Amino acid sequence: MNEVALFMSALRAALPAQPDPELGAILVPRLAQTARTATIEAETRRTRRFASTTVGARRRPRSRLGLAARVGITVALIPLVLAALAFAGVTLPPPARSAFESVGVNLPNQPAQSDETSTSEGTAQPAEPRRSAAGSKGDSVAAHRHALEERAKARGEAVGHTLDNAIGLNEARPPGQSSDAGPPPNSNAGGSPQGQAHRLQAAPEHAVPIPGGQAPGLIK
Amino acid sequence: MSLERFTSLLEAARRGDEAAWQELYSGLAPVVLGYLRANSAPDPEDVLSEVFLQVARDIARFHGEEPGFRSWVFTIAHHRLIDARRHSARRPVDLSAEPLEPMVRADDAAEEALARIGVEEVHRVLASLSDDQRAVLLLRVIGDLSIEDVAKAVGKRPGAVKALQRRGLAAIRRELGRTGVTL
Repeated sequence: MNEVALFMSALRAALPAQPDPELGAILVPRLAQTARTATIEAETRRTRRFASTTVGARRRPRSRLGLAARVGITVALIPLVLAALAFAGVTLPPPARSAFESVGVNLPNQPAQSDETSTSEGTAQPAEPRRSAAGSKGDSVAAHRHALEERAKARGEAVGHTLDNAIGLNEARPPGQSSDAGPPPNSNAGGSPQGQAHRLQAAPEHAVPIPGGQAPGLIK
Repeated sequence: MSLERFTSLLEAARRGDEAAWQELYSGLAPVVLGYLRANSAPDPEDVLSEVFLQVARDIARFHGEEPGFRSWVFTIAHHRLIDARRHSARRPVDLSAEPLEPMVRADDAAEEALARIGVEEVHRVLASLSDDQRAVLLLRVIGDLSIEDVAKAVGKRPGAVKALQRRGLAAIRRELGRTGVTL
């Protein structure tokens, strides 16, 4: 251990070496200049950082004010947009209309107050036809009657077109509603043998001999 | 050097005072150069210049006392030494080919020890160490760095630094025992 301690002491004395004096003469002014520049740059950076943080702190209220202004402008634009939609012919919802009416502004192209109830009950109709109907209300009985006739026509109750009353169709039954089991007796269509036999037995009741040369429709 | 003296010297050096830089350079350049030479730096004086230029560039960011400043300078020196080794072909450690001239006036005990062992013997024993062992021992002895500071400088854990130091001292003891150096 003593040898090691002795070696360490000798090492402290042996290793340090004097650099070239010319190197020191050149290097020391350069070191001073480099340190000066580095210190100035560091102070400049520090000043800029401080200035940026200060400016940032000043800008904060301005940015808040800008945000509030933006929100205000957006809110103020909403009625303008609604009014523009109304001018364009769009029917606004009742809350929007009532808001305008509460401040004394009547929007164009909006339905009348009486129609609002029907609109609110779910019988929405185009605004223009309803207003024309309201304008002719009560001034024409004939128009009312005409409307009723048109309604009856639409239901198929026109004269001569009701079921079983059509001209030339008395006693007629639609296919499939007859009580006969098979085709008519004078038909050539096929059928079951029982049906055929039944028709052959019943035939004498109807088989009235028709004189020759007389059509059935001319018998009196 | 007292704390006030060192603080004023550091402040003057930050302002770019040449006298302050002359004093810092004169106090640290010999030991740093000895460290670089003992670690077989490719061009020790060139690396020494790079070390002090980086110290001058970064001195505005340094805050501390004299031991911390010394440790900081040796850490920079070790990093620049590694860079210089990377940029040049690795050379075998042959310190006897470049005899060093002890110039700094050490204390009497160190002078007496050096007289007993001899400069050549010191360099021969150093050359027998591995690179890591030599770097750790020189940073501890020449740079006066603590184990933690050496660990930061060489990029190893303190336990690894202690192990390297222990193995380096054992190697030195073996070499000295072989040559029969005794008190």
